[in-house]
Amino acid sequence: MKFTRREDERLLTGRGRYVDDIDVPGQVHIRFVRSQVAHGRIRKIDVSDARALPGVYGVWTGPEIIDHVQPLGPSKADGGVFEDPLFAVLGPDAGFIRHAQRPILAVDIVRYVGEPIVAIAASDPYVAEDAVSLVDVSIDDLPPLSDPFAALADDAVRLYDWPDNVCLDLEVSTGDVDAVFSRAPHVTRRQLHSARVSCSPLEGRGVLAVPDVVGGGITVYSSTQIPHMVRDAIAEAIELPQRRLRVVAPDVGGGFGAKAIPYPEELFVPWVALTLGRPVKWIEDRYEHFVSAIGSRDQIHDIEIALDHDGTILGVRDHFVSDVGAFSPLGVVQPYNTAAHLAGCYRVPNLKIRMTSVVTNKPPLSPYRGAGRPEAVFAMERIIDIACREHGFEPAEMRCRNAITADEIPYSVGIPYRDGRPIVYDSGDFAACLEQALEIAEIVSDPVPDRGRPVGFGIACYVEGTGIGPFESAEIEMLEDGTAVVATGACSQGQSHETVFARIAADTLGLSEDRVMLAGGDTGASSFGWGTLASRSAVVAGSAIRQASENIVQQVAEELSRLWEVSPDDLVFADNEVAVIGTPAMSMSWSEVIGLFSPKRGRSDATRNGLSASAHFVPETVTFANGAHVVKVAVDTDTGQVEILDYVVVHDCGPLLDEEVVDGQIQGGVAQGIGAALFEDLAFDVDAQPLNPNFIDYIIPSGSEVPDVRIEHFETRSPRNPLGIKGVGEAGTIPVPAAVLNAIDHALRDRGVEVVRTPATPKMITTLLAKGRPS
Amino acid sequence: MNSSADSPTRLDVEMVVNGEPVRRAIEARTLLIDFLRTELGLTGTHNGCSYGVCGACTVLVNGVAARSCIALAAQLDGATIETIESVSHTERGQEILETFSRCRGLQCGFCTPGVVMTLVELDRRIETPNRDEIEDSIDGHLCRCTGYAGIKEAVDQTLGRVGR
Amino acid sequence: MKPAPLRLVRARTLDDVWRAFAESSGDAKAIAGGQSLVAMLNLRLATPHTLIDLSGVDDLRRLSVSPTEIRVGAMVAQRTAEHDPDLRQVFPVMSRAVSHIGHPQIRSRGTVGGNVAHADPSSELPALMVLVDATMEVVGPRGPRRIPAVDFFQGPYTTALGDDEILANIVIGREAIDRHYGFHEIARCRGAFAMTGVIGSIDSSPSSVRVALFGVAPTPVRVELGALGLMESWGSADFDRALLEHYTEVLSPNDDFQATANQRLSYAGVCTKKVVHELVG
Repeated sequence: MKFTRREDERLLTGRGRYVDDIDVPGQVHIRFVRSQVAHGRIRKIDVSDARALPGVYGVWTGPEIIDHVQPLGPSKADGGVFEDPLFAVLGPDAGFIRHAQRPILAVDIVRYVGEPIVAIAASDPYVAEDAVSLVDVSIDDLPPLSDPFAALADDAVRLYDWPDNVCLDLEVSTGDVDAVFSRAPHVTRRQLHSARVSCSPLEGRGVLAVPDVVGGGITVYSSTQIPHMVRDAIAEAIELPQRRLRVVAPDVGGGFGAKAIPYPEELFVPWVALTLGRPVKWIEDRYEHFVSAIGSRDQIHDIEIALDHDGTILGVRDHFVSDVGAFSPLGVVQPYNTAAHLAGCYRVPNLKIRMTSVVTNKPPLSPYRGAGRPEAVFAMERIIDIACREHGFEPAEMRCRNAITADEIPYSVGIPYRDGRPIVYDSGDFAACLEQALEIAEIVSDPVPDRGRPVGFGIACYVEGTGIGPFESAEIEMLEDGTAVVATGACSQGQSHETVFARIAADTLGLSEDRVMLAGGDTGASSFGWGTLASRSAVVAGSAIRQASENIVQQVAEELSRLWEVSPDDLVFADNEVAVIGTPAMSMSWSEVIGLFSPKRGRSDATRNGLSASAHFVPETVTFANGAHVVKVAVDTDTGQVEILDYVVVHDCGPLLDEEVVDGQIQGGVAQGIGAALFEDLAFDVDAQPLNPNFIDYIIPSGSEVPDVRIEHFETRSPRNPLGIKGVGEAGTIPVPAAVLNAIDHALRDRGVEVVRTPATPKMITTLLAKGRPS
Repeated sequence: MNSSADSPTRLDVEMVVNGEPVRRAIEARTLLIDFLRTELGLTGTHNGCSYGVCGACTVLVNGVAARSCIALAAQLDGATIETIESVSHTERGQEILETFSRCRGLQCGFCTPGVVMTLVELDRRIETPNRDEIEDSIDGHLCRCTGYAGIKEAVDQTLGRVGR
Repeated sequence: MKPAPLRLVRARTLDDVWRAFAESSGDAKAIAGGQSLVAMLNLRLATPHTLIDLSGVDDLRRLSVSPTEIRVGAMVAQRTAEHDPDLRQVFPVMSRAVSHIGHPQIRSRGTVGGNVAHADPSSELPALMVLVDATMEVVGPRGPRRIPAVDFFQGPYTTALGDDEILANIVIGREAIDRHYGFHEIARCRGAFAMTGVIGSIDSSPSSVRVALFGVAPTPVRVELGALGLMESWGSADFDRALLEHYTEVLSPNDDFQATANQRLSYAGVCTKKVVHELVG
């Protein structure tokens, strides 16, 4: 059989290995008793019946394990690396951040529905669930916080030992916003809300911890995007030397951010395995994913825009509140990403953004595909459309007028990025990109109805800082059989790393792709790694692989040029051999070349792995991708249902490493954006009880809801990495809610409807239509 | 064999799975998906929701696509089951898998086995399914990665309809 | 998400069923295709002591179709009912209604009787049963009973079935077979539970138009649009007004996560007009 991607053969024949597909003899299964109340004090836990159930190997409560498994602090992804430089740049008056520790199993207090209270290990998942139903937990209710504004009230119950429920309050600005707003000819202000959504990869989280047969170490298979960070977190939580711990992300069934932080369950399962001396497995079920994996978005913006007489943007002022639930593991990342991307493609000379993150009794919140950017684009692109309507500007023309052009690049926004470095757009032509999208979409200001349904166009543009550091690593080891093993800290959840990354190494080394094997997501294969998140892997891991490959080439060139007495420049690396240009007699196969570096050939100076190289790509800062989306919708005014008639994306991620992979990322990203725009709303009642934690009421778009996106590429090279590329993993998702809701407003332009919250459900649209003024 | 009167919590089941006869004594509550994955080691079939919505667990039961997460194995005594592991056993199955790969019908691959089994059934029908049935069948699968374009393309190419 | 421990009785005959009910001291539940029940078992929303598997009872699988009577055995698979050529020819609305239940992968194991006996207020088949005056043939240890559909559905997920009775057949008579039908429902997306739906039928004149609505009350609601005189104003704004007035009186829609009560009421009107349009133009 012939397969396009190297991952495909095993995935298509049922031989993929996701965590739950790995079975180890003697393994036991963990289930958690989770809180059913959002906020309360644990009075009593009775586990005696569960303990007595045949097949149960262990039952643990929070107080019993607190001395053995340390609570989770804030993740290093912000706390240790970027947060400090960012706050240093912003200065002491900019604001504050507070971190809460996240217990492994609740002690005394529960803070969200779904928080683990008791863990049970049993012979199989059925018995483990039987035991869960035998546990009796008594909880005295405390007042639940289900709304961030209620949580800000002076008399609101405090979730932590803080003076209020604010965990982040930060302001960033450039120019003189207040002065501009006091004299601007046109000002428009709205409250705009991006609802909470669930990442919902089709595979939930899962962990299998297997104690080593010899040596006292442990191997942990986890469905994660960040095996190296998980390794560090486990090592710290259970005080195990890193050397005795190997974390492997096997085949992972989607991530999207849900698997980009270490979780309590991930630290607990290895401890149980060491405690019981058995392999231990925990597989998250779909309900658990909705209530205990992170949710995201959930921002309410109070945004205003000031325009000049001709529609030129004079300034933007925004204060947004994030409802981060009970914990915010990545603290500053999501809100600051929102702030950093708010100005987007446009010249905004005066900008002031205040971000306030509030803790409530909802499940924890952390970045999901787009990570603060969809919220930013939703606020900015909606306020632009609303302002255009209010003050009589044409939205497409107004955007073209304000979009940054190629001759303004590099363009400085005037505020720092979240790595503390100044935001300077490094490549692109945002105006040209937008104009191309408008042309392809054949946008008109007064589209004709479709079978009686009003039709509208919506536009949204975005920039995206991609390829963030601090670093990514690659190690290449050339084996004596003439093959290369490439190890990197980045791991794949469907991004085709095995295909694309192998190609980068193969192209540089002149090896056929089948001679390059990729080992991603295994701390045993690569000691250093950061992970696959934040649209970074192609940029940073790809660059590291390119650099490591070039290092190998250089080593070989030095050796062969000495041996053959030719210039290194005359060597050609192609067709699985190294040859002197124009001299067919002088060539050597890769396996012979590799042998030259082996101690078997008398090389006492051979390195540990013979011919090998490692590279750590450390980007100076992010590189900016950008793009424009134009969508055409029809709205059924009888039912409030929206149909997407056409969807156009023009995207600039630089040179394409693999066009079909890039297109797949965009198409899939747009699908998730359509979910957020029209369907997905992880809702809670006033008691912070989840209203729809299932695939029946939380609707994920299926094939009929997602059109084939028309994708065009606008390629400008990034100067910030050797491949000239920019990330693409999140881009497709970012502008979709803004574009779709802009289109709905446009379609309903004669009916006095203004949609200010995602998702635009039939319920919302029919309610707005009932309130709006008839045409 | 157990008579119907003894109603035990453990039951014997016999099935033909991917062409092989199998017989096991199982708990009455055992779901078909767990029977396949745990008893038979056929882990290509995945569990995405446990209530029949997402479609990742789809297998063929007596030649027809069905959810293995909401079927009790003991209800399927005598049934013929086909899973993703069997698709490459036939030339036509191999063509379907190659088409899926060529059309980029998968990214992470978790939902894929279920989608492929649905496609195998559609492809095998004597009367070509109409457009509406095809869409209804594909809508019976949630995919969070691909945005469906590659899946639809693979379905169209397999069923011989190019250009939707 | 795994079922609690249970016993499963694989019945081959109806006598097996009665015996199992008798031996189970009241905590037994019949299982047909299990497409709703096993999901509820997985969520432990249902924890019956004993399940009585009807899939081996051949008497419940018969489908007979003639121009004068249709008999659908309770265990006939939904996909069979959807695709059976005779049924499609004689009574096509059945296929149409069934095609809205989940997706083909659900309808393969899901049964007609299982769907009807589940009595989900947002489901299509109960409404069809009420619309066509189907007779529910119920069997139990005390013998058979024939229950008119309108009396069979008593509330959400509640039917006239006794604890030890099962639905055996659905019988649809000539009067219903001879009518013409229209169907329309509104759901968030294909295969999702309907927010509101309407099935309608006509004999020869508009005065014979009747509809049954689902998703707007605890049980399906049948409305005789013709007999109530509502059809006389069809095509004018009066029809909309009178319809809304009548629906406000007879329907009791819920507010829930997907739709408001008012929205459902309005949807009932939208669906009704589409259906009537299909029937009379």
